[in-house]
Amino acid sequence: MLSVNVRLFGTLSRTFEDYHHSCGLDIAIASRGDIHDLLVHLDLIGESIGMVFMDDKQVNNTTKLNDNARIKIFQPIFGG
Amino acid sequence: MNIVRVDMNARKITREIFEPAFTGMGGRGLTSFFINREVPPGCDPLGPDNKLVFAPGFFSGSTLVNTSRFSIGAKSPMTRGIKESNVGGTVAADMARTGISAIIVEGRPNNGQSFILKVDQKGDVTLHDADQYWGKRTYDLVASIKEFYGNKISITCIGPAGEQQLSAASIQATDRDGRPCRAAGRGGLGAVMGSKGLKALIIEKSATNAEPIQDLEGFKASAKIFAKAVMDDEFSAEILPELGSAVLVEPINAAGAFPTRNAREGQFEDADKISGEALAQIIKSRGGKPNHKGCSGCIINCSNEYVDEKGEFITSSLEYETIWSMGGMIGNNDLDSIARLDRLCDDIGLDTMSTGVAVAVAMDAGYKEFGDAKAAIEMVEDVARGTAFGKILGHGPEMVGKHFNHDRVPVVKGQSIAAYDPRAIQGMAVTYSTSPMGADHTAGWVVDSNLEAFGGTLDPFSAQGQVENSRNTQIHMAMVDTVGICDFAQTGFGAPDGLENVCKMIAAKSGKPFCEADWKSTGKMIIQTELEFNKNAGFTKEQDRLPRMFYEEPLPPHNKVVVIQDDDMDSTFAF
Repeated sequence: MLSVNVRLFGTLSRTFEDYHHSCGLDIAIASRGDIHDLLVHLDLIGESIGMVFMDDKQVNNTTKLNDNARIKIFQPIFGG
Repeated sequence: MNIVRVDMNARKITREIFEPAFTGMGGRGLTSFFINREVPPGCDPLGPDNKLVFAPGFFSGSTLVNTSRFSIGAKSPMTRGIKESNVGGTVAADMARTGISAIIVEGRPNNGQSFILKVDQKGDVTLHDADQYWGKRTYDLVASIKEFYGNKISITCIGPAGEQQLSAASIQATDRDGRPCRAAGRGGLGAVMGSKGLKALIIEKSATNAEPIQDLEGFKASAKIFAKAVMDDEFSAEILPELGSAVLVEPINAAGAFPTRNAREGQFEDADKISGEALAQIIKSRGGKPNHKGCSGCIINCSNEYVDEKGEFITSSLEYETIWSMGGMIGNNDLDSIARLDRLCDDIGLDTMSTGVAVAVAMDAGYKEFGDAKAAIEMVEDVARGTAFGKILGHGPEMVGKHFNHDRVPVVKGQSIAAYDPRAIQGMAVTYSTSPMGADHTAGWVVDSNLEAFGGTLDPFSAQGQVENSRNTQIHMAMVDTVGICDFAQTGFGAPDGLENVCKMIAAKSGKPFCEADWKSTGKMIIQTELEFNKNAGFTKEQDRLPRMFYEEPLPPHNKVVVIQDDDMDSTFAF
């Protein structure tokens, strides 16, 4: 198993009752898992996902998870 | 189209009927048209020949949601070119309902007197002596004005910075709760208002003389489609109401595009302490309002009310750009002090962005340490006190750079950049450089199209496609600012045939055909008008350049510089 810490931005954390933004979520996930597996595990596949970062590097759905990685998941943004 | 002209020298108010050559004129289109037609390009921006034009958006005051946008135009004392800055709150809707499409303020009182300009429910316009109000900060000012004129008014006003005619002076407008916390911040238009001795513009609410909509049913049908699209979009319907524009802090920081410590870095290590998530949590824990309706007809409610530890109101609304300019840009990780700086700027009548960047330049020059929020507050207080340093700061970052002989000054045409570093998002380099308004993020926000994860197809570190994309966005935004749609309600364009739907509303209101091609040609015409003024004011392509720091200093963490070549930059508006 891999352990990763996940921080959810925007409104992504709404369905996680005990979520505290300063701590994030500690997740155990199968070895060799990738970002897509993590999104499935978190039941975020139906959500609009923007950027995902692993240890401050932008990654995509097929990027393999690193043990003890810090993951940040963002929603799409618009601004002005 | 009913235009009111106010001669501040003769104290004469006249009315004229103006039929614009182009359909759908209001807001920025109208202010830029009048400035280009009537203001001598070489004039002193603070002299009697400059004019200040107030114009609600074309849709303002109608049933279309999120259209209370009020454009203010003049020759800018900051950029020395044409300027339009727009503000939310209630004034645009209230003025549009009086049936007045624009107020042109010209001349200058020759005896130093000050005035309030009042528009009543019938649309009658009068000038009132305002000497008793001169010198007041804006929160005190609106309280005094309401005491005399009553509560059912929208107030657009200046504070001490505008009175001192400082180049970073804003024009403040009241929100739905009657607080002067909304700002037409950019370009120093508060200084122009101050130069004309105009302390405040008061519009009575509940007027019913709005220009008639020619096809009311057609307009309503399209407005309904637009509103549904705004409410169907996750960003405008869910994310903005919960976290406000501050939601941008973390993703822009993660992308390495959050200018930090006077743009020496692209990431702020304490971004999580000033993020939208942190902001909402603090406001909730103190009993404030993380979700608040600031503007007439708003269905997004992205505003907030920031309170102190005792639950006492400090400011509304704490927005992304201010959190950046008074936060990461000056190395400050304390939201309480950012909120106090925001309140201070609103109260003094200062653009939070230009002021924050001016503080950052001073800190970068060694005047104070980065992160010293107390020093930042003192520096801004100096502006209200009218000290020598306060005047330097109040004139914005370029003046601060000159004072300290410091060349790391992130401005274009004298106006500071916004919270997106152009080295990490090359498209913003084009917008900052080429906008007739100076470095203005709202003139052509191309962040999403530069970030693949947000649907973008452009490489943020490459020049490829950036010029064309910025050009098209700037033309589009010229029209958005003309019809008066809030930036954040642009999700309404996401309706099926969204642009066509908006064009139908222009046609329905005006009674004249208006199609997507007209949208583009009118937007282009507005920019051409603005470029013409700037050219006649002496601008050359040399003004369409970023400072050297952006070409020479790689920005961590991506260690990139701006790569758009000058020739490409110059092709942006080679119409």
